[in-house]
Amino acid sequence: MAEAEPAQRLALEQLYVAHERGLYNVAYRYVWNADDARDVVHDAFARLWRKRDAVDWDRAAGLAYTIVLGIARNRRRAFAIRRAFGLAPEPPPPRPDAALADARLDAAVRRCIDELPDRLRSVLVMCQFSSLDHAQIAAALGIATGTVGSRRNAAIAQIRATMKELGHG
Amino acid sequence: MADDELPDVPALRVLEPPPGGLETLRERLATPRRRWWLVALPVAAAAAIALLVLVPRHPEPPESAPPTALRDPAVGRDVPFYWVASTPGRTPPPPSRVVSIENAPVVSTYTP
Repeated sequence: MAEAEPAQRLALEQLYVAHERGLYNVAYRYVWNADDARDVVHDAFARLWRKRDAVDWDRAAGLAYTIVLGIARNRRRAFAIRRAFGLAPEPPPPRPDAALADARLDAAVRRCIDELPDRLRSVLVMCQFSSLDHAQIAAALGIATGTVGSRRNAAIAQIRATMKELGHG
Repeated sequence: MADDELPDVPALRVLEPPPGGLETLRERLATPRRRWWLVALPVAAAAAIALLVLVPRHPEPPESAPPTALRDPAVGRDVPFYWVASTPGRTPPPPSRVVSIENAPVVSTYTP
């Protein structure tokens, strides 16, 4: 096992370089914080490294996304619990100079993404930010390939409906 | 905007991850993993032993006050009945009403 370690290390680092941006962006849409998002990605790679002997490095990208999503969901849940008990700060209110329509629209979209159920959010962020195709996303999320497209459309429809309600239609 | 498009806002734009990610990851992987549960197990065992030693197995029963006899007027005025307890087990009944009949009609059983 020890002699395989340099090759595994190289494969891990190549995977990180190739997918860092996608994984970071997916994690960011769950935790909405740059440091936390990077932490989530590093946690996922530390977990991959611990399981290195069982990992098929040619197909590890989907697994990395699956692990990132799991860790990001847990962090989000923990943050919500801490906030419910007053142990975590509330998200900052929109800037007072948010007269800028873009800033308001951005806040509205962010809120829409936050309000999506996880089955839609995970598909949306994976389609939007990962470099995986629909089949790979389906495999990573454990759903049928056709479901990826339908859930993506459902997520977009829900976001657009919520935005319309908020007056950004 | 088409039906399957999302608005172009920062929340949906691709962000660049903070620089130096690979170096930070390398440092992290080089650091041995902290196995907190390896510490937690002996601490829990020591706490259990301390509890077994410090807490007596058969604690002495608390000393009870000697029984006292309380006269209970609710039972009867001159009845030798006592509660042998700190308090009676039930609330005393309301005092009995004395019914007096004044100017009652004379009732006679005489029949001529």
